[in-house]
This record gives sequence, C-alpha cells and structure tokens, in this order.
Amino acid sequence: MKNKEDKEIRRASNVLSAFHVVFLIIAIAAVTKIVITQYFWEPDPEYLHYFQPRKKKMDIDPDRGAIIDHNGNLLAMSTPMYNIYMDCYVLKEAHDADTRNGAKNEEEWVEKAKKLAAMLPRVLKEEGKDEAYYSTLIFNGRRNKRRYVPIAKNIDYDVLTELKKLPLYNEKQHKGGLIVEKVETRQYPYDELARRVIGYVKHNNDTLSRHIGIEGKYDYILHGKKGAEWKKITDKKKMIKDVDSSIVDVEHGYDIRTTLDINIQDIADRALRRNMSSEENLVGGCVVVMDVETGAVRAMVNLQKDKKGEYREIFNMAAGTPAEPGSVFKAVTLTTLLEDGYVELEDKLPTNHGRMSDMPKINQDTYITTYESRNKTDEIPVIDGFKISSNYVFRRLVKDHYGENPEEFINRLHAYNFGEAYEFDLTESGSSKPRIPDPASKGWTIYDLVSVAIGYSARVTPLQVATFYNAIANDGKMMKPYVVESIEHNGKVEKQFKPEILNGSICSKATADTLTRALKMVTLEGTASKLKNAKCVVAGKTGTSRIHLTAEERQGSKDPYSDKDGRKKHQATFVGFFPADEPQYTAIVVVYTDLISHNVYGGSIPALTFKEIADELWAYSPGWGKELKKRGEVPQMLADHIATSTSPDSPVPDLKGLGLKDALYAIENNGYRCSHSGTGHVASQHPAAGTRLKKGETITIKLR
Amino acid sequence: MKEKMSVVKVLKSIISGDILLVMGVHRLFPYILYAFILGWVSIWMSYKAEQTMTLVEANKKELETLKIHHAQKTCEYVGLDRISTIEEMLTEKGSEVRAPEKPADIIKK
Repeated sequence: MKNKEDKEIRRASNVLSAFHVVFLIIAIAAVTKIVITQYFWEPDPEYLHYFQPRKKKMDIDPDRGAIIDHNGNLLAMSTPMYNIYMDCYVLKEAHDADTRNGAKNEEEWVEKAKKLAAMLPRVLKEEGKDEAYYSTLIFNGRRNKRRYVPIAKNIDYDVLTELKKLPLYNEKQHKGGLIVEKVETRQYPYDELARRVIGYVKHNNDTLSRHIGIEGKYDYILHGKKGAEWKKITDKKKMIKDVDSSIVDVEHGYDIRTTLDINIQDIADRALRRNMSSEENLVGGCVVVMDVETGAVRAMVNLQKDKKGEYREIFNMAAGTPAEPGSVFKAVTLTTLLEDGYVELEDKLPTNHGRMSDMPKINQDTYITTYESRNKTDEIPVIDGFKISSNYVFRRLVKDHYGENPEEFINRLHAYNFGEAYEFDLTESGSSKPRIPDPASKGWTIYDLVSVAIGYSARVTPLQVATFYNAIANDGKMMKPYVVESIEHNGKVEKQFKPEILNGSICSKATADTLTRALKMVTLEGTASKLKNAKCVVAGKTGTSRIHLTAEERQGSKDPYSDKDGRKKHQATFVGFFPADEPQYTAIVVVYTDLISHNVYGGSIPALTFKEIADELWAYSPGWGKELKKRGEVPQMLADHIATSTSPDSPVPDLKGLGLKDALYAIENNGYRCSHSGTGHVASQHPAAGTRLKKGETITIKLR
Repeated sequence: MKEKMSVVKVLKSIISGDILLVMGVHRLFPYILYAFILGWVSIWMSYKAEQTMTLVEANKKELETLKIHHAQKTCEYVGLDRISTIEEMLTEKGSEVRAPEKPADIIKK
C-alpha cells in the first residue's frame, strides 16, 4: 500500500519535474532572445522608427511683445488667426471603391457640399465671393483631386466657430475635409494711426517687411527667444510633454511702452486729414505734439499722398525730412539776438522801403511797404517785424550785428542742436542729414548769413524746429524728443527711459519769456491770426518756405525754387505751444505742396490744424477746467439707482438724481431718445419711471 | 572539489526546482513582495501620470484657444476705443452726446 503511494508520489514528482524542465528551457530561451535582441540584433532601417520611442521635438515660438501707448492702450499686439483649407477629395476614393453604398454616400456628400457653398458667403463675408465661387472651388477641387484648397485667410475665432457649425465642416476632418491652421499675425487695433512710428511687421518672424518704426528698431526686444520641448505619444495616441527630456524655456518678447497718447494722435491725425482735404495740391503733411517738460512725443502724424491720392503713413517726414524751414526760424534768430543783448522787442529800425541798400541782390520786402503805408511810418519795431514776419527786419538785424562775426551766430545755431541729427528713436534710414552752413567753408558769403536768419540755406527737420520751440516753452531747457518710455515684461518695468536734456539752457528765462510774448503777439495780431480765437492762448509762429527743386522738376529753369512755368513747391509750417502762459504741449504742423502757381501759407492749413488740435486737447484736459466752489451737497448716487438695462422691453428708467451723462446713458441704452433742459441733476422726468413706451420715443428730463 | 560539488548541487537544485529554497529566498519573501508591489505601483503611477498629462495637454489646448479668442476680442474692442470711432458711432446712433467743448469744471473740495 505504502509502495503504491510512493510510486504515485514519484510519478507526480516526475511529471512536475518535466514541467519544470520545460519551463526552465523556455525561460532560458527567452532570456537568450532578450540578450541577443538587446545587444546583437539590428532591425531593418526601414522599420527602425517603429522600435524607437515615439517622441517629437516641438519648437515653441515666442510671443512678440506688445507696443502700448503712454496710458497703456494697445498699439500693436500679436494675435493668432486661422487659415482655412479644405480637403476637397476627402472620402472620394472610398466612395468610388464601395460598389454597394458608394454612389449613395457620394451623393450625400455632394448635397452637403452644396449646402456648405451656399452658407460660406454668409459666414466669411468676403467681397466678391458668392455661392457660385465656393461651389466652383469645392467641386473643381474634388474633380482635380485637390486636398489643400484655400478657403479663407486670417479669420478669427468667432468666424471659425461659425464655420464649424456648417455642413461637412461639422464633421471630422477625414469626413468633412476641414483643415484649420493657426497662424501668428501682428494686429494694429488703430489701423493706420501712428503707423510710421509704430512700424509694421506681418508676424514675429517676418523678415520680408521693411523694418521701420518701433517694430523695426526694437525688434530685438520685442521678438523674444525660441524654446523647445519634447513630446511623446501615449498608447492612446495622445501627444503629451515628455518630462524626462531636455527643455529649452521660451523667452517671450518684452513689451514697449511708448510716450504716444493715442487720443492725442487721433486728434492730430483727424485735424491734419480734415484740413489737408481743403487743398488738393498738397502731397503730404506731418504733425508732432510734444510734452513741454519732458520732450516726450505724444503724437507724430506723417501723412503722404499715395498713388491713389489717399493720405497714408508712408514716410516719417517729421524726423526724416530736413528742409529749409522758412520764417519759423525767425524765432531762432530773435532768440539769439535777444540772448546776445543786441535787441529788445521795442527797438525800432528804419524801414527803408524793405530794401537792403547794402545788399542789392536781395529783393524788396513787400510786407514792409504795406506796413509803411498802413502805419504811415518809416520805422518798424522788432516786435512788429516779427508779427508780420518781415524778411527785411531779420536780415537787417543779423547783418548789422553778426555781419563781422558770422561764427558767433552760427555757433549759436549749433548750440540749439540744429547742425546735427541727434539720435532719435525713429530716425528714418536713407533720410538726408540736417545742415547749417559753415562760415569757414569755401562758398560762404554774407548772403548765406542773412539767408539763414530767415530760415533759408539751413536744412532742419520739423522735429528739430519743434524741439527748439519746446525749449522756449520750457524756459530755455532743451529736452531731447523721445518716443520709447519703458521696456516692460508682464507689467513690470525692466528698463525706464528718462527724459534727457540736450541743452540745459539755450537761453535765459528772461529771453524765453520775451520770446513767448513775441510769439503770443503773432497769434493775437500777426500772421497766425487764425489762432486768435483758439480756446486757449497759443504762442507760435508761421513759416512758409519754398522747396528746393530737383533738376528734373525745374525743367530747365535757372531758379532752384521754380520750374519753367514759375510754379513752386511750398512747405508751410505753424509751430508753437499752449497754453502760452503755462505751456503743456508744443506742436508743429507742416504741409508740403506739389508744384503750384499759388502760395500755401503757414497761417492757413497748418495754423487751422494747430487750432483744432489745441482746442480739442484743451477741452479734453480736465486739469484746465474752471474750479467751482462747493456750495451744496452733491446727491450720492447709489449703484442700484442707476438704470443700466439694455433689454428691449425694459420700461422707462428712474432717472431722478442722475447727472446728464448717466441719464443719457440710461435712456439711450433702453432704446429711447432724450430731450433735456437745465443743468445739474435730473429733478423731474416725463413719462414717469416704469411707464412702457415704444422704443425710439422721447423721454423729457429737467435738470436742476 | 568542494566548489565543483556546489556547482553540481546548484545545477541539481535548478533542475529539481528547489533552487530558491536552497538559496533560502523564502526568508526574503516579504521583501520580494514589497518590491513587486513597488514595481506595480510605479507602473500604475506612470499610467496615471500619463493620463493626467493627457488631460493637461487637452486643457492647455483649450486655454490656448481661449487665449486666442481673448486676444482677438481685445484687439477688436481696443480698435473701438478711439475718439473718432466713438464720435462716429454716437452720431450713427443719433445720440446727443458729443465731444466736450471745454474742460470739465472742477468742484473744489
């Protein structure tokens, strides 16, 4: 019995041993295979990638920094948009191959495509692209086996969402054929406004656009640095970040805060466009508005007529067009004469019928003959010469006081920084340099000196002229104009650009005050009388100069300023500051004419443009408002008292106690019209609050 | 000779299937079990991490879309915040609100 049991145990033991040996052999074979595969076997290169980890290196493009104005308004920002393509051949092969349901499925697809073509014009709203256009595009694409047909470019998220609801596009890509590609774009919310200052790029890696303005000059700050990370594909075919691989952190571009004030820029742009439209022979114009104390440029408009006859921001004339400034330079001459103590405003000099008897080549000044006959006099005070912008007076004064020592006068001009182009944030490449004639040069004559005195023979930019007038407004302290205020990153200031002084004192405070008085007289009684009724007192000077013509423009004429028909090109300027007694802004307006037979004066379009700018800025500046003494309690307006409903069925709101602005807001938002009288706060209203009126009907309010 | 014997003994014990017992591995069983659990937890955690990462990526994509939408809307609305545009819109709507003609009066405190 026991033997039998032993036998059975042995048999079982042998069976188990046999199993063990078999498994042992399999295990040894498996281990051997692993070792061979790991160390000795090499797969076919064609299939190699299947044996490697599924990883992909992804470049991360940096976000281009934004450009913002002085108050934080966005002037340029990067925004991804979408390009839409369509795989028009989608499912076609499958339908053709399917003999059973293929024809029916194809018919269904075509029906959907027809509906899609009919709905696309409504969603995309592209001019000239109707149902027939999209239908042809899709069905031609399907016939010609095209898998990447462009449907729309640069559409936004809202349009994309609408597109994804359309037939076919609401299906997956391999069924509907919709291909969406994200593209980085640079957006300029204010369109052309300040375009030449801001610059232009299509996207962050745009190397084709000409790099101009802040976009060009500060590209290295705005661009940022590319990063990279590895992605791996999970077993569920999802792409995830591979945290075990190396990562290069992306460095996004820094933001640039400019000194521009987009509201001032808008006011200046609108004023210049409006006034330039009154003269069809203009080819361009520019405006610069500066902050007196710091030299910060608050607006810089540069409008040039394009081939279609429309004004566009094409070239920075304000900073890049040095030219003979004309009579606005007389303020420079007068400052020099006053500072050197040679004249006072009330000093008189003989009129001599406007003739320089010692310089016979110089034409008679007809302003003087008019002055003589109007005032029955043969003497003219310096201030009157300045008011009427007499060339004779300034030529005479400079000839008499600096004729023997012209260097003294010219050195002064260099001290005012007219001789050289100081480094400005936006100097235009290719623009010519400013120039002041040199008394030591070979061709120098006394005629150069008297010519400079009235703004000829010297070439300066409008920005330089504005900088000089700004120094007068700033009691003689000349500030360097600048447009970049700071470099910021995530709202934190990384680098601050402080106002820089070009010349701590171009003249004494007394000289600056005297000149301000003279400039005020020009606007009150002189050539800039269009500014007489400005809402705040302006101190400024007009200037009209002829532009040196090219040989081609002269058409054989010997006069460098006119063609053979006597037509001339003019540069008309008005430059000044306001309010004259406590200057806050300096501005210059320059317009350029084509070849014309008549004159365009600084006292016309430029002065009118200046007036518009000064008036609007004055009205928008609460700091210049009248101070009212507090006589009573202003009613406290609680939030629940202000009706803000925009519902179309809302009744007449309760307006009592609201100011006019809030009352108008509440009335118009509710779809009614408003008739009001009185000032203060709403004391009564008709109809009463809660009444239901038809939309568009009038609510009458009385303010007290 | 002794060494040869032990090699033979080892081979024999491998064939007879009691090598682990000969080595006394049963004394280490709790540790082996612990290592096994650790291995299992590690695999489970990396699976869960992968799931979370997938979710993170999906959320990132969603955030990116919202960011794009936000940027586009910001750009659209910033463009409207322009004096001349506001004035045009007010005129179109027939509003009586106009640009100020003088600076606001300041009530002295």
